[in-house]
Amino acid sequence: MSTPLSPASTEPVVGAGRLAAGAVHRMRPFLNIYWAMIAGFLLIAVFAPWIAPYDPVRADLGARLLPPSSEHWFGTDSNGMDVFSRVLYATRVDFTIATLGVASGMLIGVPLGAASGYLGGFVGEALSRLAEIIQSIPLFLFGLMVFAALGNSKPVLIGVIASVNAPVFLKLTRAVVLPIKESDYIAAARCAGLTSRNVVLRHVLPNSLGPVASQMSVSCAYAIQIVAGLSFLGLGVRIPEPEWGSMIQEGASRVLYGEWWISVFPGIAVLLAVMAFGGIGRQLSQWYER
Amino acid sequence: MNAVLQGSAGRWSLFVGRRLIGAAVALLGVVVLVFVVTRMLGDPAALILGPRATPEQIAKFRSDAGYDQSIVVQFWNYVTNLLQGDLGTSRYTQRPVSDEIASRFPSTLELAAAGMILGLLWTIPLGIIAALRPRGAVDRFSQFLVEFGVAIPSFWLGLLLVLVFSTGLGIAPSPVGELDIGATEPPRVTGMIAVDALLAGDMSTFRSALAHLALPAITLAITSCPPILQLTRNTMIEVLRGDFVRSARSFGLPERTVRWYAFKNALLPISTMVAMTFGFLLGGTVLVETVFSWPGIGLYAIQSMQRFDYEPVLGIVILASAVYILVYLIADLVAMVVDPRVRESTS
Amino acid sequence: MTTRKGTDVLDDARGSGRRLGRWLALALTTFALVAGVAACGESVNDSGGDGGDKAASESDRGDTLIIAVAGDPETLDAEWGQAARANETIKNLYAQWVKYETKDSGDGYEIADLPNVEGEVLESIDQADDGTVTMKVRADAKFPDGSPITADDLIFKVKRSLEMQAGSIFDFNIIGLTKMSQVKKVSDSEIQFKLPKASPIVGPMLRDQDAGIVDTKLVKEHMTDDDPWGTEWVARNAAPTGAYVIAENQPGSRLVLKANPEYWGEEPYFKEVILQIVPSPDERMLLLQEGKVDIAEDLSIEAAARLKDADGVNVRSVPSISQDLLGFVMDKEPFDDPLVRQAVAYAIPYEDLASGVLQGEAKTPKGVWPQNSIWFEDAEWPYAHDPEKAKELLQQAGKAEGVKFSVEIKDTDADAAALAVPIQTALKDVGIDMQIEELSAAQFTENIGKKSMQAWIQTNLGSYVDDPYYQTFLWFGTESVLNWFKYSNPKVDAALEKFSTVLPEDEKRALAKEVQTELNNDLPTISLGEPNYLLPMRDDIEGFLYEPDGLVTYRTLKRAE
Repeated sequence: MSTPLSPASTEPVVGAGRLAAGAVHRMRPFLNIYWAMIAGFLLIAVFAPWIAPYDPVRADLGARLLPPSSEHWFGTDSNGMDVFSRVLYATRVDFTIATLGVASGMLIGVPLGAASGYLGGFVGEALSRLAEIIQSIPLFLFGLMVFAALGNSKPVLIGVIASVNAPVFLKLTRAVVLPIKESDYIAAARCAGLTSRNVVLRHVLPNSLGPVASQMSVSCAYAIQIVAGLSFLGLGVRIPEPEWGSMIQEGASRVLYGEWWISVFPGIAVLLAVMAFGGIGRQLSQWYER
Repeated sequence: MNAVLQGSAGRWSLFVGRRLIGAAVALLGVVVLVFVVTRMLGDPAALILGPRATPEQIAKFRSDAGYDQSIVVQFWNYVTNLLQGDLGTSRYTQRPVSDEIASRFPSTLELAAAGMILGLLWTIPLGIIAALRPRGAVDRFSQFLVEFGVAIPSFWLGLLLVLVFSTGLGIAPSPVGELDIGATEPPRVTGMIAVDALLAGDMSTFRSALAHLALPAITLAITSCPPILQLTRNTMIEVLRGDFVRSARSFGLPERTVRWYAFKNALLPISTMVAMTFGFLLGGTVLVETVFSWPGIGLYAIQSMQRFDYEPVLGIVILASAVYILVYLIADLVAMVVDPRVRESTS
Repeated sequence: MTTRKGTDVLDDARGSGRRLGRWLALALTTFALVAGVAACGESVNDSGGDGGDKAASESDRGDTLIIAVAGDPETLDAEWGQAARANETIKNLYAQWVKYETKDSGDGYEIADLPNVEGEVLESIDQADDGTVTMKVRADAKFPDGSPITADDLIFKVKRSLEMQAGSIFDFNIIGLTKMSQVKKVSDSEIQFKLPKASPIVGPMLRDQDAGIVDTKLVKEHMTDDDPWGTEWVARNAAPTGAYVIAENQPGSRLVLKANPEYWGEEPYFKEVILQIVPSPDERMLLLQEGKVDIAEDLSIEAAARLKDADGVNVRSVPSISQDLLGFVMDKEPFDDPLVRQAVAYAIPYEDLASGVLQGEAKTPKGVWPQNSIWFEDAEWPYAHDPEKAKELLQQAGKAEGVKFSVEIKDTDADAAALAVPIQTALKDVGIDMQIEELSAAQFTENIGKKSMQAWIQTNLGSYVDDPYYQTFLWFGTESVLNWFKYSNPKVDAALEKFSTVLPEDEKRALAKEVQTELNNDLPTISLGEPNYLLPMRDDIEGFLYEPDGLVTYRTLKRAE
């Protein structure tokens, strides 16, 4: 179809416009609310010290349990600490633990899953079985036990998240690798003389990038929930370090007195963070499927 | 379907057998893992004997309880007892663990069932309606509900509900457990308060039980059932696009009948998901039980853990894991029957 | 392939949409119905409405007393009594040898008239200067089955205690009774202890709940080869001899006591006492406010203080010898250095803690020794909140770059956490970095026994007996069983030796002052506050008796008619 305007005559203007339009078009997938929320959280995590109006761990017994006001936007807790500042700082704690935990889980699970899928046979089955064992244990009971045995600390928390996620990534990678293993182009690659290792690294693993990326995001969503849940049970984070779950727990007993602000605001933060990661994960998996 | 089964009866039973052994191995693995972890913990001696206990008293307590034997011996004893149905004795109350768990399990069961029922009531109809018009308003709304329900922390939601409906509006009872304290429980038949009250014809206790059940069950319904909504919607969409639906329509069958056939086809994966969700629920009520002081096995596990009374914790974890494994197994087997591709990749 | 007309699709969509819409409506209606039933089943909270079977309201609870407690008594065997909750139940189930005389405090309750005792199982008790204690059993003392309590039963009790080597042996050992050969039967109603020397605390120790007399016959029925003293059965079922016996025991749910008809003392008003297990402290508070229980125990100071304003609730506040302690373990860094300990003592904001955390229901400390003790002496105590002085001392100690340590607390101890956080802030201001470690009760108890921590905070620590011998013996001697500070001072040990004898009062006071001076100098521990004993009760409960052990005596309580 011919256009009324020939491109040549209007080239400079349309060209630049097209470039810009192209750039914006490529960015469109990222211009949604989920990425915005994550970006927001990341900014908060990084710039918390500059944004937060108060020191999040400074007790001020003269300012206990104040409801939200212009001085304390989210009110104060039973130690007189500003809830708004604590929610901001808690972003760092929750995000760090969640992402480190998921990343560790991925770093353990993906290679094991690739090995399990590629090597097959007894080893593959055994690894898969091991993953199942870990996944069979009810999460919070498992967490309770591990904390009681290894003490209450952030590395243990990260370890728990990692051990919950490793089986997930293992099975995911295995599921990606298994069907590929028998496929034609792998056979062709091997005919061409590539070693197993080469095959796996150059051909098999890249195929799993998509699902893994999507899963990472979803896992981060769950990880934040898990961290909050474990902290709610009193595990993982030392007082008075700000963390959304332990803040909810601290405010829980206040709810009965009508002092709602200590629990409500951190909960909203968790909700938004989980929704954001979930949304990104879904988007990534849709992308990959295309 | 029938052709598939007839042709591979032998291979089928081999497969099932392998899976069963796999499940047994998984369960054994869980027992080992849990056992090792709990034995790394301290024991309740110091707590029970109090701060004035001397080292000799503590040593005596431990040897009486058999904690001083090697871990292998302890494990062997534990497993042999387990196979006879003996889950050990609670160091704290001196009662058999199986009794302790049995007395509390009905509460968790009641809570999970109530949550499940309420969950099904909102997820399945919504999923079907959403599937009828993909990307329509209802569909988009239900997608949002799924995201929201999955993201919201269950314990926070529970607190919110308490805040609004109990502390705020005063229409729900305080989160003090199954009934008000001091209220007499109905004669114990199933152990589930609401059911027992109904069986005994005690309508006022029945109403109170439902009242106390409402908020925690709603919490569970919102936070654990979204996957069912998602699956219902996806399955219905897939089925409605499928060949047999097209043929049914082209034969002139009324749309209503077509939809009904579609739903029946979707029922299988949906019920599998429902069963799996219920299985997970049974082991996953810990947080909600904590918020509402619900006397189920979740809360009991936490309390036992705090007292270093780990026989009950072992028992609960093993039981819950057994349920998970069983549910996984059944889901796997069902997937095998339904989807040949899955069969191929695992043989 | 036939295509369906757009309108057909729309119609069908509408049709099935309508039907499913109906289904959805049904679902929502059911939901609403359930919610409605829920709302009907429970009338508005404030009116004290209760769902289901009407919980006994105060007016028809009459002579049943309901107490909300945090958990089960850990054991019902008097010999084992040392764990927190067990002690109160044991005190009420078992008759002790003696009880404290009481007097009116002037504030609507009775207090123990320390250190005077009168007989409970005993009719009389006399200690000679050579350490011979002569005791006569009351003629009307009876077991719940009606048979009389005799000298043999007293001897049985001592034997059980000494041979079981459980918690109760402490009561006898501390007065010098370590072997059965020291126990002599004089007649069917009279026995003697031959102590190596006269002890100043025979009365209080025989009043201790662990020393309670057990039901000999019942214990004997359950003695086995593996369990020669029947402790497994008694731990679960008790062998009571006191004002109350067990009516019903449902571990994890409730323990019901009923009045012992054979008890020879004054008949208690409450014929039935129910210990209702309510693990959540907020719930216990709620129940008390709503009048569903008569007494709420194990509440944090904050919760108890909040209850002061509640309708129908009366919070008994009694000055006590309890302390909230920050204990130093002095055998390791950084608290092996006295200057560091002193620096901490100057850094703590005592007033803020007392008003902000302890809700004004505590006194700021005047020494290591509790100031409400009848043996408190004004020994030098310079410490007050002075951050500058604290920094100076750290400089002197060569720790100007800062000190770092971790403090352990029990995760069930809400007051400890509430104290720890402001203290952390205060210490940070003087350059001390304190990390707070919350441990489970079991882990904490284990650690504190091993003294593996650098410092700890515990609340509501108090000796059951207000006597310098008892206190020093328990806490401050080098070998003391509760010496969780690894404290060792030969002067204190020497004083301890002297305290174990009967001293004339002025000598005793001088010695007490000496010990307190040493303690204040050495600072093995800092008192963060001396909280009042708080017991929230419904305002129609009277007859409360306060004793230094802080354990409620059920038999004196009454409900106002």
